[in-house]
Amino acid sequence: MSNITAERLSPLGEGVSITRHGSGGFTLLHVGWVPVLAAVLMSGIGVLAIGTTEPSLAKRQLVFGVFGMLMAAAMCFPSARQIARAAWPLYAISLALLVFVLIPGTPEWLVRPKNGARRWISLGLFEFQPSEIAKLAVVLALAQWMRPGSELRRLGGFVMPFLLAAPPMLLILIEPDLGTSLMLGPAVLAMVLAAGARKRHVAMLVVGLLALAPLSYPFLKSHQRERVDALFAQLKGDDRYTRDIGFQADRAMTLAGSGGFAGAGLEHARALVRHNGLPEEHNDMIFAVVCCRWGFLGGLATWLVGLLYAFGALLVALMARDPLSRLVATGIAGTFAAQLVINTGMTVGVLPVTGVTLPFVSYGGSSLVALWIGTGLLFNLAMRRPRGNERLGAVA
Amino acid sequence: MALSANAAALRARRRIGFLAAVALLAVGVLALRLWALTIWQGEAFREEAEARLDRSIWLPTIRGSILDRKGRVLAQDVPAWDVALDYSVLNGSWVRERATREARRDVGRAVWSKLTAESRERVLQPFMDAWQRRLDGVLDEVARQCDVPRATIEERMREITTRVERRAESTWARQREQLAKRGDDAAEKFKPEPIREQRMSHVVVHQVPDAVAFAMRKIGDATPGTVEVLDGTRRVQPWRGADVRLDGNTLPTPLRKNGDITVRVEGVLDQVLGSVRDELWAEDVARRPFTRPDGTVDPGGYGPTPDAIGSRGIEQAYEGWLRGERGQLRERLDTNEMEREDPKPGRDLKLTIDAALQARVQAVLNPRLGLTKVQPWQHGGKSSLPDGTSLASAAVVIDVETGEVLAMGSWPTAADAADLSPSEQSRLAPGLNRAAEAVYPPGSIVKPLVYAGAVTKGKFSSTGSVDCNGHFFPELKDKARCWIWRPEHGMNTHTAVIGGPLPVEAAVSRSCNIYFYTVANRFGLRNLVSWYHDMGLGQRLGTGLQGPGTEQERGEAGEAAGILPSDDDMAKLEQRHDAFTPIILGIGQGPMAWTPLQAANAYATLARGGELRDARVVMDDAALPADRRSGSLNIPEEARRRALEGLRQAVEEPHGTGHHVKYGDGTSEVVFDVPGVQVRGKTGTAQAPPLAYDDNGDGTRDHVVRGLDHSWFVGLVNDRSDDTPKYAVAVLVEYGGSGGKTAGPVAEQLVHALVEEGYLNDRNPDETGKTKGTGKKKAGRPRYAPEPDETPAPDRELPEA
Repeated sequence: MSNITAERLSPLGEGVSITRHGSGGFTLLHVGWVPVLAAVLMSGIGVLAIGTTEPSLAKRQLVFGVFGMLMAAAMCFPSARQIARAAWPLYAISLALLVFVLIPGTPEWLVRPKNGARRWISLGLFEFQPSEIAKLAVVLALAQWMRPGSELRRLGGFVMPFLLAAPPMLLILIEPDLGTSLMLGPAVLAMVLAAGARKRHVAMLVVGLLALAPLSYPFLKSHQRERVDALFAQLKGDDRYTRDIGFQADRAMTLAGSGGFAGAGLEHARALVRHNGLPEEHNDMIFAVVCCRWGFLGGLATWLVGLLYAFGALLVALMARDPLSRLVATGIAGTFAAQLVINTGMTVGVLPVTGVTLPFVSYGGSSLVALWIGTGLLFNLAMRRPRGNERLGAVA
Repeated sequence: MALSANAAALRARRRIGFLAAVALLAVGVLALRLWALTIWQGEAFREEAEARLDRSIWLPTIRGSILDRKGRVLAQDVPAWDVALDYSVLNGSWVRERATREARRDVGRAVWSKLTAESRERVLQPFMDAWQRRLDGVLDEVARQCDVPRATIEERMREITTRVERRAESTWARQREQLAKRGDDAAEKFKPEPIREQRMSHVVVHQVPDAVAFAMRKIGDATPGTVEVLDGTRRVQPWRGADVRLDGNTLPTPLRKNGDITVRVEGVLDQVLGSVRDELWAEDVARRPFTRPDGTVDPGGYGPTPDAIGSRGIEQAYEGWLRGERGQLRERLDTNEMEREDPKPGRDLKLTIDAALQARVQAVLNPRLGLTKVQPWQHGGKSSLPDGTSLASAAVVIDVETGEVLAMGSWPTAADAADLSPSEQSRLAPGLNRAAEAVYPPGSIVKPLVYAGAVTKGKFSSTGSVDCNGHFFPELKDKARCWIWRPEHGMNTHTAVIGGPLPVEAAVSRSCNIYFYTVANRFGLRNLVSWYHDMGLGQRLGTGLQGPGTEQERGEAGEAAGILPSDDDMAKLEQRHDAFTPIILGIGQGPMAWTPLQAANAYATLARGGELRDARVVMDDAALPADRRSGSLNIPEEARRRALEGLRQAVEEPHGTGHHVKYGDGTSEVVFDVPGVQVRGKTGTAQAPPLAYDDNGDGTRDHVVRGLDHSWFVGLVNDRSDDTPKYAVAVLVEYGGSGGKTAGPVAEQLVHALVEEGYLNDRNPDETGKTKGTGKKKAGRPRYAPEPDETPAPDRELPEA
């Protein structure tokens, strides 16, 4: 009870409670378990789905998952203050790494381009993708910046978070990785909204972006433009692109659809996926494999577990006593949800194909570890608030 | 402040709720979409995905065989596959293209475009090595599976590349030359486009079995753009070429030789069978597409892989009959189960032709034997064509009883073209089936038919006789004359020669024009033309050469209708009160023409007393057109007998136009001398159109020879022991001059051929049928010294319009 009073009386507003709270007690029964449970379930779906066609990769994914959980556990140790302090340095480091992969002439054993993209740093055992860390860094940096007292409710202040997110987004765009880059947009928007930006500004931004989106078409690269064309063609039932640019989308949709209500089962799904030649089937297109193997039920379950994660994270945000925690949790929920929607949206053929993975499910070490780090962070934030429903009650 | 902070937290929580709602909404929309995909369209998608688990190749159709009357194979499919490599693999560009593509992707397009040529090469090298290793693997696998040494394959690859490059160079040089001719600087700007051969696959291993073909297809799928499996089914024609041995003793004196003469004939049945082409045309696919417009498959349709289709002759005419349906070889990729649906072979087609007899006929028509080239004894030094000139010719042998065509010869065949100079090719048009596709003015061979017609229709008495005054119109002495009313024959008349009016036997055997002018005049123009039509002129007989369709469906190719005056033409003649044209039609001149096939058919009809059993080349009744003629023309027996007697006298009596040949040294020799065989026949020497010569073979005419005649002989043949005509024979030698001297000896060789193949001399043709003849040697035919008043009739009717 004293906390509430103190907070209410605090001349510095909510921000002050962080420092006080940082050394506060923690509890074992808290909403942080919800995202952890969801993450375990999703990772499980991922390992099984990858194992449909690539059993050896599924084993590796399992190892990465265990490693990710360890990292998540480690994330429980730093205090909120330490986390806040680490935000800017982390932001700087990820910017540096993003620049590093783009430097021409970097030895190939260190930065190995794949399909013309420079996204990975070779670390012997596995390849590390700086953009995965950058996502988390952007969330932390924004949360740190948008503390109360920032000019967020003014137009100038409203623009700042986007300017902060811009450099990493641009660098990721150059790699090129349009999907990952764009995915940060909704996450930033969610954070800005949660941080209390004016609805007017947010509405202006959203309406402006929607209005400007068609105008960006001429500036897209030709293959990106073709993908947009292919999407519209596919939605209209026109199969003219299905042999080239729309091939992946067409095959993904076909396989997802062929799962029917309850799925084709392991052996059959394996044969279907293999011989339909779905590219990136264990990676960007894993959701098609999920739907093929477990049908509509499998897809729905993945979404429900995904929503469980996102809602869990939002619940952490909701229960958070301080803005930083709230914003970090919102940011994590935002990046996760954006990734979930964009990835599955392109699999079922309503969004253009961009290289976005399905969180926890798609094969990929750095992505999985980064996601678990985020989950650990959520757990940390949730566990460090004192027990007591009164807090919730007071707000409600 | 505290309140605002609390309010801020409250607001944040509201908004977090809003964000949750947005996420829920987005996922909800996607879930609906997935519901649509999996539940509404799920089955269709499953079907589409399942279809990719089945890999199938369409097996080529197996065309039906074409057999001769004795069951000998004339054309047959031997199914097999060919293994081909893309040209880019052959010339090495495949490795480079792949490597470049990969290297460009690897370093990024932007960087790649900035690289110098040398650094590109450097970057490219490791990729080139990798792709080369991959290609080596492919080639090793091809060699291993096909059981052919790798070196042999590479040798073959080199050969093809060299040949194609040479062809490309010459093509480009020609194109450049043509551009240079235009004068502007187009030649310098010329950019050579790859020629067709540089864009397609080339066969490196021929004739591999199904299993190997399937393995090859798998390799091709695994490494696209390398190996391709082509339908290597071959149409084999065992009777394409033959060595025919003829008895040299049976030839006319100037050509006679002791012992056998071997004549090599090429394309024995070429003009009848036609050919099969491997290249599909757009109209073939349009006519019967493999994939119908509604997406279903017609296994008998054309496409989707290389296909074979009859392009000429019987092969084309009976395409639907012979074609058959494709089979399919299916593999279930997840279980590796193989399933084979055999192709449904096309139906066999049995022809009435006797291949061995046909080979003999082709040998007789071949100028190498000497009968069908310009010889001094044919023209007595008066020919406008140089001696030794090869002449085109045709011959038909029909079984009178059934109308079955036993042989249908034509020279030159398409295969003979290889031995001809360009000038000869333009003059002789090789490949044309002259027996059925080319029309010629009949000349006096129609005379017995005109008589029989006029008697049948009651316009002329069967015993009617006519006085020959030398000319038909009393007041016009130099128009519509008889051949004998000429200065070289002392302005004679037939009435004077035989001492009275001519009966039909004398008129036919002496080929009197006045007699037939008179008959035609009494017959009347329209009746005569209608009779000619009844005898099979001016119409296509439905022999099978045009396939099984009705007359409308059969079209033009394969069989010519010939020429007869139309109703309009006749109306015009009547309007002009033209008295000349109607009577010269009675001696086979004027606006009419027919094919050797129609000629033999008409004689067979006459011999049957008018029973209509038109010529046929196809044995199976079901394969013949349904609209073939039947019934009878009811020629009175008396007329038939007298016409046949005239034909007998023409060959057997010394005054007959087909009785003997006179040589330059004053000696004479009978034309037909086959022991035990009776020949009745009529010679014809018909005015031919001017002959155009293309001396240098450049496609333009250089000089024209006028005043030449086509040489005809049409006859009926049977054993002397049986008086009924058994075979009808027609021979035409283009620009051959005298019917008796050129076509007659050819016809005599056909009779020998019939004997050799067992059709005459009471031999059963089904038991003998020797290909290589060993005729009994004879001491030579009887010489014949004509009586002074029995001048052999030159039978050249000159209407002199």
